Amino acid sequence: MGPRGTEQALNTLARGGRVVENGVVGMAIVVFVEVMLFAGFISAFIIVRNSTPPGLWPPPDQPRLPVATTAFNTAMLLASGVLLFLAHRAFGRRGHRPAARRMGIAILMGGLFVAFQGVEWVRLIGQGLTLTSSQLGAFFYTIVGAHALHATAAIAALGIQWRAMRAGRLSPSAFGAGQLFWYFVVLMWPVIYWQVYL
Amino acid sequence: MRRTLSIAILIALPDLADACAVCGAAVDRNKSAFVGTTILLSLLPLAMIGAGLWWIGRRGNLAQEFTEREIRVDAPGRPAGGGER
Repeated sequence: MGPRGTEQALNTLARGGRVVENGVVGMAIVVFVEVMLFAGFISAFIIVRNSTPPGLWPPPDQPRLPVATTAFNTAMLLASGVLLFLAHRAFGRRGHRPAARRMGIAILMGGLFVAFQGVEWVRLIGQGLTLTSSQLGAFFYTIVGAHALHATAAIAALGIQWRAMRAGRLSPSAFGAGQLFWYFVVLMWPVIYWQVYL
Repeated sequence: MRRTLSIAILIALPDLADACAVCGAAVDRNKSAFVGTTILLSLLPLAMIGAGLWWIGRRGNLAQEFTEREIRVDAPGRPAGGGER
């Protein structure tokens, strides 16, 4: 799709048509900013990790991050993203009730992801990894905490949308915006997992 | 001669000093990380803007096809530009 497509999109917009819903455009701008925020965090983390002498990262006196349980958690978050996509397809083809079912399960899986993260945090704090214990702790809680904050906000927004969908009064614009934010949360996590945990 | 020497110093010194007050270690791994993350942070916004424009273009094409199909369904067999009397 080259310049012709873009021109057509602009022509449609000029005629008063809506190529992309307003809510989706607004959310795309938010997601753009948030992606850059996480890119900054992760870049800083990579530089700090690479500035330590060989063999000293992660710090030897600090607990190891739970790679295996977080891999399971990552799979659950990805499945939640797939389910929301299926809810989107069902919303367009089969109506709001089947879509609400899929969306409800997606929200539940997202909630479980955040809950498991909370359990992990409690365990790590108990083992001595705190925000001030090391650079690893500082970056871990900043990056993973920022992601958990975004996930919680997205789950709350999707919960409100789920209620509206069940009542049959959810607009495609609002649903599109909610989905975009959740896809951002879902797709950002594997990058964080790869850089911070592995 | 002075000019050549100045250029040589400007080229050589930043590498020696590593031109970073906070990185702490002038090791190759760290320099590579700086270069890699600089490239990432420079290209990522451009890639996202490009992807956004591509997506809008694709949606525009779909909207255009949809509109043309609707016109054909509304007026089958009517010649283009042939208005009602």
